[in-house]
Amino acid sequence: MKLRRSMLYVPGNAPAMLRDAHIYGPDSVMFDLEDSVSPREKDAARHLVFQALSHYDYAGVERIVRINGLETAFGLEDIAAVVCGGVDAVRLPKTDGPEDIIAVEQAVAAAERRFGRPAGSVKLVAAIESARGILAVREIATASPRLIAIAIGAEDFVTDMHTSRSPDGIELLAARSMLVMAARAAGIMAIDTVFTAVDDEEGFQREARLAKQLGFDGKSVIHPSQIAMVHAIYAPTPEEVAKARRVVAAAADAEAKGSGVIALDGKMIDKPIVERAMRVLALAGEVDA
Amino acid sequence: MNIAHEASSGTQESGDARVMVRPNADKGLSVELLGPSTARYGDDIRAVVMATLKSLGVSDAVVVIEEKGALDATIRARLSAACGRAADGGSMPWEAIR
Repeated sequence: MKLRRSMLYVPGNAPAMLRDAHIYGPDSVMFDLEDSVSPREKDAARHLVFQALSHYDYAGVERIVRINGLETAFGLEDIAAVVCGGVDAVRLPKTDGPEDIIAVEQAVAAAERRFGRPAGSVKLVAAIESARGILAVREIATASPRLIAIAIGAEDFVTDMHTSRSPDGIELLAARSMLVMAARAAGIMAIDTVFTAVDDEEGFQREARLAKQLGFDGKSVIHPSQIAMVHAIYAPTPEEVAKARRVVAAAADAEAKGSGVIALDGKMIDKPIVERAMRVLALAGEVDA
Repeated sequence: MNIAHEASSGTQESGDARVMVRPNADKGLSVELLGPSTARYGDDIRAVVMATLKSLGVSDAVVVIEEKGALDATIRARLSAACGRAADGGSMPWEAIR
């Protein structure tokens, strides 16, 4: 299980930030060619991100690029550049339906053929930022085997909903819940939206705890200082780790004995408890993430 | 790639480079380097510039680079973007400039 607790946004037109993005320890870096780049700098940012992907060593940190939508003049060339550069996953903005995923998938597959990359090696992440997208989230989540995660983009979503963001996030509750459910049903990850007030650590932590409780696998972050906070929220307690170790050991013991029943401290343990224990150990870094 | 008119790319911020390209009336390549690293790393930067121009298929151009401690990848990116802007159409040969 690959961890995606933190996806660090990096503006695509900032050479120094592109070079240093991974040193803060995010699970993924996300180079942005979309909203953080002005229309007249789109080509220049594309070149910077292409060179960064091609030449910098990110020490195994997953490299995602948020492209411009295919309805813009930039999207198709963004895909060519990042697939050629060796990107791990392409993030689509403003996904309204499965047809958006299929269009990007076709462009990515063509770019894989053109640049000699193995078919299916480039993964997709879809950001959902509208009421229409949320209502289609189930179809979106299952639109391509390349999809590894779906994410909610809150700023555009609340605008579409004729509301605004509040500290408790009540306006996002239904959308977040639907998105997580669709992700779980499709067997992919769910990533929460950014928290833009970088100085408000308490607000960030409150929102990250809520996302974790709802079942999100991680959060998009816009500042390196948010990485440690979100990782701390996802880190299991020593008690949880100790219990998880015992559950996994009991399961291994039962399997070795050929027994279908797992018991620990006189209680029967169900398969979901073992699964949860494996996830706790992955979050604690004790088993392969 | 044919350099049809003057164009530039990049900034003068630290870690970046500002690259200007324009048609060369005398034909061939003329490269001028400005910036703090030029005295020490000028030959290396020039080699990066010449290799990038070659992979882009640019054979006639005047190139002026004002660099502020940019890494090779940034210089390649700024130069490729400037050439793309200076050329009349045509697609970017990503595989060649990788």
